[in-house]
Amino acid sequence: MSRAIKVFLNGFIKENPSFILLLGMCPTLGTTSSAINGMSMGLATTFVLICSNVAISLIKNIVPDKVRIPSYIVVIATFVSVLELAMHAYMPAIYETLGLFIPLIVVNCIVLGRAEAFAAKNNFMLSAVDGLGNGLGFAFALTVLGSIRELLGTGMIFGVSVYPEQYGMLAFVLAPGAFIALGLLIAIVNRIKSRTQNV
Amino acid sequence: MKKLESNFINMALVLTTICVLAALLLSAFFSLTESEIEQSAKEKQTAAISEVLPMENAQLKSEVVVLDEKEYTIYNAFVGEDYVGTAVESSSNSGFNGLVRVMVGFAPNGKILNYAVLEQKETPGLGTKMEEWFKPQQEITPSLVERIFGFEVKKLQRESSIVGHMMQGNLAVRNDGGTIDAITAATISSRAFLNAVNSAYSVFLKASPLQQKKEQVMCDSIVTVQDSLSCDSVQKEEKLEFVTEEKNVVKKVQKTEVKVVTTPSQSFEEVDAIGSATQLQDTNKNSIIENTKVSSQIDSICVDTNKHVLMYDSVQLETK
Repeated sequence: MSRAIKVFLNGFIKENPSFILLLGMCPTLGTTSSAINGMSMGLATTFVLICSNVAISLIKNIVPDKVRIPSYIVVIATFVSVLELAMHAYMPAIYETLGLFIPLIVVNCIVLGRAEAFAAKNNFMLSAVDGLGNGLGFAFALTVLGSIRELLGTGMIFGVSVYPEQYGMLAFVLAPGAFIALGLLIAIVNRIKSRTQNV
Repeated sequence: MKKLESNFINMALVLTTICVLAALLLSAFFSLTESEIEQSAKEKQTAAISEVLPMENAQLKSEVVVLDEKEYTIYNAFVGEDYVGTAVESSSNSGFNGLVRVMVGFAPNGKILNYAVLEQKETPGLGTKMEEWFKPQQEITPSLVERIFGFEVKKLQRESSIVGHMMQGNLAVRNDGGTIDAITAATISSRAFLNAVNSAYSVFLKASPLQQKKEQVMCDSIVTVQDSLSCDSVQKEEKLEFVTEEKNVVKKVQKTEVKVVTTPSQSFEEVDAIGSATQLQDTNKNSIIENTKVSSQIDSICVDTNKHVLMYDSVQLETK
């Protein structure tokens, strides 16, 4: 049990894919124009991560080493397609806003990275926990980034108006704002990290 | 269990098995969601139509119209026998990220009743505002800061609503010499949106039942105009006289420049448009028609881009 908690926290905080490892930057920068978009993308990735981690840890022994990457990609792509169909059918609104980014989860380095680094070496329970931790860490990072961009850009968080829209800095909704906000967030995270390590 | 050795047979076998399993899973899931996806697309369509044609119990007749080698689907709405409006599905490819698909509802006289954006890939937070921007400005709930500190920031006013707009030629953003305020920082998206609306209007002009009738009126004969005149208050004998008057003038009207002042009414149920022809000038003779004072009450008027009157209903003429 304590192992599971450790694995979860490792993915969620210590090796947070967005803030520490800087993996999956494309969806991180692309979908975080609002908090809700960032969160949906994070949760979609979490779903794929858990499913693919479990599936890959189950088949790890029957997959010969030389074809493991194509096998893993097929598994991941299958889950992404399932997710895409499900979202299209049951959550058309979110499907439309995330659009192109859902198929791109296939090539998100976090998913293949966790498959290679964790699921291929551990049992399926721990792999599921690892997928959950990493996925939620990614979702959390995207939500924070999305909230900051939405707040600074449009004066809203999750669609709730915090200050009048005309004082928003439009740049934060656009691509440059994504880089600036992410850079500042990573700086803050590094600062906290170095402080806690010194103590 | 030991890991399988990486020889040719093992690799081919495992990869094939995984791919076949994946394909089976996907096809199963596809057939599971297929009807659902279709249904949600259909629901969206119906919701959009009822949003842009706010009539109760309207019967819809869909039709495919081809204009400039492009296909458009239109939905003519009828309440009983009466034609009450048309929803046109239209699109523009000039958006910031490609396709912008809209549904626009027109009243029989060419007034925009409402619109709905069916599909767009514009920048979130900028171009995506088109879904609300071109509708009448809504009362915004005051922001948290304003509520906590008890002050109010004056909201920016904009003239961007196209709902209730009487179409006369094309709509354009202010930058292009038009009258519509573009979305802040999303002029390209605004242009694409208005393009889609404009082509919807062209389709409407071409295909709505009433427009087809109007074209007929213009080309064929004055007799048809008589039919569509509302002559409730006119006696039968007088009507004949009235018609001959009408005949002379209407003929000229078709060739002349008429300045029309229209005031779009507030809501759809009211009179379609109130207008007055202030001056009838015969361009052939280049003189103002004398002895005829026109005091016309125009109930429904259709004007083309050069402000030529194509057809109007219910005109009263006074002869001096």
